[in-house]
Amino acid sequence: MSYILTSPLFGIGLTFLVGILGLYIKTKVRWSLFNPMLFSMLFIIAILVVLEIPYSDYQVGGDYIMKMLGPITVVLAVPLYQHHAKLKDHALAILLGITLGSLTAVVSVYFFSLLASLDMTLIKSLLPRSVTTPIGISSSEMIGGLVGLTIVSIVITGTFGAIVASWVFKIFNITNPIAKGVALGTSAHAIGTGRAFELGTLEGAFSGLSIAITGVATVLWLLLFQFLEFI
Amino acid sequence: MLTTLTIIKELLIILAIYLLGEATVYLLESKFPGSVVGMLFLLGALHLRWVKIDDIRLVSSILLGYMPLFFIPAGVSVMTTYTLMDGFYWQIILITMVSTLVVMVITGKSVEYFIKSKEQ
Repeated sequence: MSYILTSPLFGIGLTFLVGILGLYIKTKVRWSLFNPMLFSMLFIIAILVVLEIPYSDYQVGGDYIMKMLGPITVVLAVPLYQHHAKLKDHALAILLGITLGSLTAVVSVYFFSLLASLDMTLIKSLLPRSVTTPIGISSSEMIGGLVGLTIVSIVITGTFGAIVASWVFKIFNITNPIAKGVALGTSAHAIGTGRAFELGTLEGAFSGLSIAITGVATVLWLLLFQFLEFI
Repeated sequence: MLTTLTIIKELLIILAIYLLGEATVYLLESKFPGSVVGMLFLLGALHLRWVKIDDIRLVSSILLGYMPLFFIPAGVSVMTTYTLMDGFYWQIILITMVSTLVVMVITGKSVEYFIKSKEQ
């Protein structure tokens, strides 16, 4: 039995099986905040715990799947390229906004974490939480965070951001659709972009555009943080 | 058969750009993620029309469409870190939420301000 579990095919098979189940449920439920990735990872954790299968057995195949994160990050350039024409009118405003927003993300997490006296490893895991998952994973690895925790905080970030966006825009009187889109993409990545498209196509396009730019900006801020020996 | 060949060809283009990114980071001895450098390379190649969207349309839409699938194993690894998080669950969730709020307000307000100041 154990040779089946330690084969890469076990981890790969289980991931795709449960993952496709998650994507299927996503198409069936009306709840727009259902997160297939969070569902699938919790489902697999439950299976491993209940059947007492060690994580290291699952990891054999899981590591193969994680190797695809590199090429996935590369193709994030495609949506960025397709929407880049929209940048030209307000390029400076958008880039400045994202630069400030991503700095705020890193600084606020750092500040609140110190306030809550979190362990440095936990802080490093939370710092990349506002970027899109593939870039978040490589950023977390870059600064020595725990990738699993980074992903969980990325999902909480996106889901929470998508829920509160309309209230935030109302309370803080943010009315410009471009500002709304960039705010959603910068603070809540792809999940926020899903919400932005519900607000309007203009909001959605600018939110999508912001995701990759936020990723690059955040990596640069994190490198600066490392250089200044904050982390 | 034609689709299979297309997928292999497109995948090779994407892998080549990714490896170019990783190689650049390695040669520069930088900690910058090679995948992000690869993304910037692809963006440049698309702008210079060395690579056209049609050259990678199928594979990029598959990778982007099924993206969540590829994050699952990294997410499952959280089960190995719960001892470190013990006693800090609520702090972690609260920090994440408050920071998200602050980022949304600062980004939205600043973009709106920069757009207005340009129009005046």
